[in-house]
Amino acid sequence: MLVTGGAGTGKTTVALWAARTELERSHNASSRALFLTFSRTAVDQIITRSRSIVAPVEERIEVSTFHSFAYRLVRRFGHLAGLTDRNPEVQSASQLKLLGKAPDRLVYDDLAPLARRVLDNPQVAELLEQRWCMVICDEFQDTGDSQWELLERLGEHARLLLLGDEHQLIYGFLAKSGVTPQRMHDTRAWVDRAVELEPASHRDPSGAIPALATAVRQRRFSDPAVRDAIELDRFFVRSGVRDDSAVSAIGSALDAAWTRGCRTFGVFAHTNQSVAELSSRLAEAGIENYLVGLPDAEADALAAMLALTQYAYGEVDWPIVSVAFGTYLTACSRGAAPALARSLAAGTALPTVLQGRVDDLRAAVADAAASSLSDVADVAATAWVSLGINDSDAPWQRAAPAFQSLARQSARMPVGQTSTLSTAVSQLRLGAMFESRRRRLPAVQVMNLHQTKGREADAVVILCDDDDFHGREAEPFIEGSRLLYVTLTRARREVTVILGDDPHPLVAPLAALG
Amino acid sequence: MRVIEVSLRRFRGFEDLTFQPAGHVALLGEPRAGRSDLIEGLRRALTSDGVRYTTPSELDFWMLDTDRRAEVEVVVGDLGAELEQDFLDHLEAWDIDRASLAGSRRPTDAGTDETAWVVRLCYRIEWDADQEQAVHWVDFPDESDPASGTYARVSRRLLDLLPVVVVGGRRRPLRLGPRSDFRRILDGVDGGSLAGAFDDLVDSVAEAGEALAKTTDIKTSVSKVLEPVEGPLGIDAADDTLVQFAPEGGSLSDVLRTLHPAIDLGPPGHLPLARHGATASALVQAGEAIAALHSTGVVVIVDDFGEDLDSISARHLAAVFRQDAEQSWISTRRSAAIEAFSPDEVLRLHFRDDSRQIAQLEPLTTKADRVAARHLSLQLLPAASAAVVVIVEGPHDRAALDALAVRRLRRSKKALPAAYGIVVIDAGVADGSGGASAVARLASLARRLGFHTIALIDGDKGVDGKTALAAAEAAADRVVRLPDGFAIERALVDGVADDVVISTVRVVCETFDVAVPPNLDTLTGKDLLKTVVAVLKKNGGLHAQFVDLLPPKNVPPMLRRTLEAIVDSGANRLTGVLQL
Repeated sequence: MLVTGGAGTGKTTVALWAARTELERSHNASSRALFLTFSRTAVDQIITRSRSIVAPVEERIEVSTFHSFAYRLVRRFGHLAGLTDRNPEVQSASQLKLLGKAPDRLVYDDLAPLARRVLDNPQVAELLEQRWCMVICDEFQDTGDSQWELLERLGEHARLLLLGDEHQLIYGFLAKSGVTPQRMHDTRAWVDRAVELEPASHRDPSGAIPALATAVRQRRFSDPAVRDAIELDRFFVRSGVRDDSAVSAIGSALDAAWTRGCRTFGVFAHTNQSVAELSSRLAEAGIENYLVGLPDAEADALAAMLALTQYAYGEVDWPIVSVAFGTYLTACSRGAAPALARSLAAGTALPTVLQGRVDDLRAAVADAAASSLSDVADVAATAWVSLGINDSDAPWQRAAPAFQSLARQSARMPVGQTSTLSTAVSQLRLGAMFESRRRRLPAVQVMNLHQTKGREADAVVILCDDDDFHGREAEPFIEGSRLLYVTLTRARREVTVILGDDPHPLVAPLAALG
Repeated sequence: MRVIEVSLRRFRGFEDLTFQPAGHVALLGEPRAGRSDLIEGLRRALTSDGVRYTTPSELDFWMLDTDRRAEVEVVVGDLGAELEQDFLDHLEAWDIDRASLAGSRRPTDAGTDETAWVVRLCYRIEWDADQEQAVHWVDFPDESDPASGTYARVSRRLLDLLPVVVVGGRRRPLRLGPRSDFRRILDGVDGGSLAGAFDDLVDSVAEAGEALAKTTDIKTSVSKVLEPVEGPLGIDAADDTLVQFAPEGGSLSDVLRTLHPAIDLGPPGHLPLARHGATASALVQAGEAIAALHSTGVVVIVDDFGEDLDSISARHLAAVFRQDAEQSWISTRRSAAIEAFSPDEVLRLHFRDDSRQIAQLEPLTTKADRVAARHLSLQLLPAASAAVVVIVEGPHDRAALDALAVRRLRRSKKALPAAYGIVVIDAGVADGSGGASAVARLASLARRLGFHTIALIDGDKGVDGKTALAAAEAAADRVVRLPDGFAIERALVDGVADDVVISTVRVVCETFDVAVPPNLDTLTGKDLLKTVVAVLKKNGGLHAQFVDLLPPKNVPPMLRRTLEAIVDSGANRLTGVLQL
């Protein structure tokens, strides 16, 4: 079944009801419902809020991202199906971007096709075909070919429930992998039933924000819906905000939203690099926040800290460490690997100041190695800050305590301290890459625009930088406008857009409203 | 569910032992050879209580060596569809033909029907030197890496899904407290009456307490107590609602814990179960365990089964456990309990070269093999906890040796063979034939079960004698052969003065109503021996009586040598052939 509907029309809630009904109807007490999504945290939040719906069957609903679902199957069954080694290693997206594909490692894109092939093994298939009586795919409009093939295979033995909204197709840059409007079109003909939900929004029952978002998507900036949203205190535009006062502008928007009764907040910016910076700057300003979805960067930070430690003990040469730094820098950036990352990876000349800091760092870890593994870990934990390459040290800082703790444990081993540490770090890295850790999250979540899908917050603040890159699109900005639609509709109560002096043409028409 | 492999590594008395049971398990063995340790290892690896309600200590480490982890690793299979799904992310493939984990397979192998899904669990104890205490947990070894100290611990929720029932130890039957076995049975029944009844119970206890507090004598006494301190407490001692009486804790589980079962097994009526004696309590406990078996696929684990039961009940209950559980692990010293099991289900713990070993028969595939093994093993049952068995050709050999041993104990305080863990078994019973071939058959079985096995054979001459010796030598650890031409009767008279033999035979005849052979007094040599043989074989055998009636200082020297050779061979675990 295909269920379509605009943002906030309750697709997830419908799916949870359907899962509960299916599970209660199933004669097989051990069958489960699988909820595949692009952001596990987002769905976890919705499940928490929908506890009354799912409570009777909660333990039988599995929520997973496509990547981690596929990895789960590949890791457990890949070697039995003769497809992989035991415990195959996965290359992070930034390693791939910077270095190209390593022959002996998997990359994210390998996972869904491999998972599909795991199901060709009859014994594994027999086991897995019994497991799910219903498979739900969230954000179906964004599924690529390999994900679709996996879904189709799962659908042979389970009811498929596909949730989608063509207006939220924002991964157009993945068209090569099959992420195109054609998916929804073809599927509508393929499914047994297609249901379109009423346009009314459950996220904002007043309808003001959905109407605003629709008008913006259609680039009708003078539409009455836009004016209404402003008058109803649902939509705020702050223009002419310089970069150095962005944090205080966000702070006052959050404060104001709080006084209007908002309790959960989303702060969205365009690139990974800018959200990472933003997250640390907000934290410095005393706004506790959670940086969503830089797991790759965390994983790469861990790898870099490990490489630095191994260098300190003479187990690897400096170029390995340099590549690891380049990979981390790539993970914190959007688009292609930055020039500096490529220099680090290739070992070509660095700016003089940076080269000086690199030399200092090499000396510092060598010194620390003379005393203890814990001391080396402490140097590694602050290594990125000490290089001063950029401000994106949030993922590094998030990974550092875990690394230091593993190093202290490994330091207790009488022999093989670094290999012990290496094994422990690789396990932790997998955890970071597949978003498997659950944490209690602060009320303020910071993320990039492409990660906002499926999430929601009482108040949303969107920070648009003057030099944000929105591809080669020009008016009517079809893809960019969908992105704006998605981000605006994340808000339950209000949304604030913060613009600079010279906004990108995509958002420039909003400046006039401020 | 079934346990298909167990490995004990540096756990208690086990240095490193791995075995695969064939279905059910009757666990026998020498004292201290580790029956209880094995059962305890299983309990800790397979139940959440095993870790939660147990405090590990130095004593759990092999040789008290706390530098290295102690481990009990268990592979469970035949999980059934539900458990397979519950443990999906931890399944491993088991190669059925090779009886080992399948490991990686080539694509061409995929799809052949030779593997089964299993789950591997490992219980580990590690010594925390800083805290000076042992820590323990259960993890999935496939996802753990001891080298780096990372362990994928098994959650309590998952462990509690395993259908494992542990019987024995400090568990008491019919307890209403939370997490008791009886509560699990109650939850399984779930006729809907329970919750209401529990609520009523708590309410009535509270009401009774209130009513008690309201009686005049209580009120008066309470206010007497409170009056002197009403100032500091800031109360009015005359307020008769100040004090109420509630059961300790006051919660439902506290109330339930204080309730003990009382049972009416005849006059004087209802008594606490424990007051009816150990047997009644053990029977009800067994009944409770059996009731818990009614869900399918249960593994039942019993330590020291039947200690408090008479042998008929033990035999019956063991048979029920074996029948109703998917796999039963019954550790016992009672031979009656073992009769319910097939010979290849017997695991026998024993020592070899001071290290604990486990012996089991290879799976018996044909019916003939099973019947033969069953009848042979029935004879070995009385020796279950002995270390050494001496297998003799027939009942007379055993009777004579036993009689001499008892006589020596009485007259000269020489210890019985049993003091050395030696039991004498007679091979004749299995097929009625006795003789050297039966000795070899039974000896071979005994040896496979890990007994130090001694075969005592007659000194038959000629080809038959040679064949018998070769067969015994192949089957037993040690062969003691009577001198050429000797059977047990000759050993009874050889070296004893003829007149002593004649007078003793006469007394035997008169005492046991056997006609005194004519010319008895005149017989000598071969003729006398022939007559003695005829008399001793009367009445189903009078060998023991003959030994008992021999006058003091007239112990037959060959019989004594034979007995001493057996004790020496057993106590010192001697091997090879001893020709007397």
